[in-house]
Amino acid sequence: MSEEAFPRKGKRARRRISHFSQDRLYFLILMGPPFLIIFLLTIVPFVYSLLLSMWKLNLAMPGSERFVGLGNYIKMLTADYNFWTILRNTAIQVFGTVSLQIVIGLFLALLFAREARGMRIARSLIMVPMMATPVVIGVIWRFMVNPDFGIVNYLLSLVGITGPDWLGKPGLAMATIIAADVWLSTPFVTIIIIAGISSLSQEPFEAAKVDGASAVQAFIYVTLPLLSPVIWVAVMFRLIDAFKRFDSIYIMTAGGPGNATETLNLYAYNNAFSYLDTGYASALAMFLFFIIALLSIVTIQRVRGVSA
Amino acid sequence: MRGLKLKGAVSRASLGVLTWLVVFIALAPLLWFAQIAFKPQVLAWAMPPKFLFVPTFGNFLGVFASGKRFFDAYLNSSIVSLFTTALSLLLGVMSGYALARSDFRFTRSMGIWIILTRMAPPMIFLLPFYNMLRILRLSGTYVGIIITYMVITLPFVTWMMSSYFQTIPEDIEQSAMIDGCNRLQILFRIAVPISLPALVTCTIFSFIYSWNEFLFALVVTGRGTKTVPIMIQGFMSSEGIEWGPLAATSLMVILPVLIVAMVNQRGFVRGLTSGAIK
Repeated sequence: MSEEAFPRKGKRARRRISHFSQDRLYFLILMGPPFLIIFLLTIVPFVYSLLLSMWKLNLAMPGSERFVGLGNYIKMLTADYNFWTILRNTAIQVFGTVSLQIVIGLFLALLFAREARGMRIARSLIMVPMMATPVVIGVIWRFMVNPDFGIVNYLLSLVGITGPDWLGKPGLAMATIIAADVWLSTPFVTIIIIAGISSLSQEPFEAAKVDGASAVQAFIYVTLPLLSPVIWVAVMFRLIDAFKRFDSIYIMTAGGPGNATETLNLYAYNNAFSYLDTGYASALAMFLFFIIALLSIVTIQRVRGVSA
Repeated sequence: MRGLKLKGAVSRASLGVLTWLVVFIALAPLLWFAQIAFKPQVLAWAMPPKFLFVPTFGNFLGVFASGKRFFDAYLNSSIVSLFTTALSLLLGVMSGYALARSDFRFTRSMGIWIILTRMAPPMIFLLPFYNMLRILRLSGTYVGIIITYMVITLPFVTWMMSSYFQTIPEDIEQSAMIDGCNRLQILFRIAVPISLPALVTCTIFSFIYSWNEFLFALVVTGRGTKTVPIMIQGFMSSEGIEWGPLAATSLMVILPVLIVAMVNQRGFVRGLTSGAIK
């Protein structure tokens, strides 16, 4: 509020106060309903989830409800031997996709950041898959890697390779799941890094050129350090979304074969809606949230640390 | 010198080829799937696949003829997406403006809270919502679905609009205030009209999100309110998947989203990377 708009002395001061509080009133009217709704939509379910996670609550066994405190979390870490497999799957899925996406995305960014004819169209086109319904993406991939009539094994057969049953074997199924998301979301990384590149000043590059640096040297010692805040931002977003990934895995393998591609997110879903173990499912969801929040904070710190 | 120039041209050309190869890889799965939708049923399974055929709309007509299931899902998704978008925009503009301009102490913690909801796995909201909607007798209704989707869209719109409003200089609003406008008038007559780019981004994000959403829909939609992703999943779980009609349906499902996003490509990008690029 600027001073000259509301002079201070005498009667006017009182008017200022009333005007001011009236302004605050309008703010309250503006944010009252939406914040109340956001509160009801997010904080209430969050607290509800937290409470649920402290109860033994299985809808398949009515009458078994009781407060167990941290019991579900202790069960998760000590008694549920599936949990460690699930955690391993999650780690492989998340770090597999994100690391590949960052590396490939960085190189694609260098490729697509060039100024050349048709570049804008090219940049738009690589993002088309990201807009498509994830369920449809899952369908397409399941169809592509089908051992009987999928295009992937057909193309392999052209070079004399008998393609495997991609989603039928544990290790391969995980690789296929990872490949699908690398194909889908790498352009996201590319676009973020391109935005970073376009905001860089040219001076350091020219200086490096004058100093006789090769293209590779310039990339490693000039481009990468300058881009690292942007890269960390991309890492953070991709980490969050990779942990939260559900749709395409559910459609492609539903966690199978066995539980070879079942991630924490799917495991929590299955506990809630297949085994109806509500309390335990909530504990799994809270644990997942805890991991995501922790890793996000670590990466945000990297962004700040680098850009400072 | 000429040799160097030639070398430059060659490397530029090869980079160009590489670029368009990447574009092709990005689009190939979609194109491959699209051609199946136009293939006669008998050729859908042919091995080796035939890429030269007379396109037919048989699969599309089959989907239309098989009736209500497709149209119902399409209508459901349209209703849910439109209302989610409209409500999130209205409320998000209000709270976003308040967040940007007011000096209440809790506005800062509101910002942190909104970032936290971005991190939270959907499962955290899903179980409570499932129970709450059941208690309120809203499970399986449009209202229930729209409320659920606003968990994601409302914080997004609030955040996006608030960061856009912050870039608008306050001078304009102060002179309007001296002329006797109150905050509501300032917001809807001055701030909103000049925030069109942000509004477009929010519209695109909310629409695409509610159209594509699957995990919440699995739980909160009912028999009469199934959305398009659920319909597609129904195709997959039924015995003997009919790939032709499935491809045709999928194509029609992603079409509205592609149109919305293509109409405003920049808005889409800004939505995807909101918060990432300042």
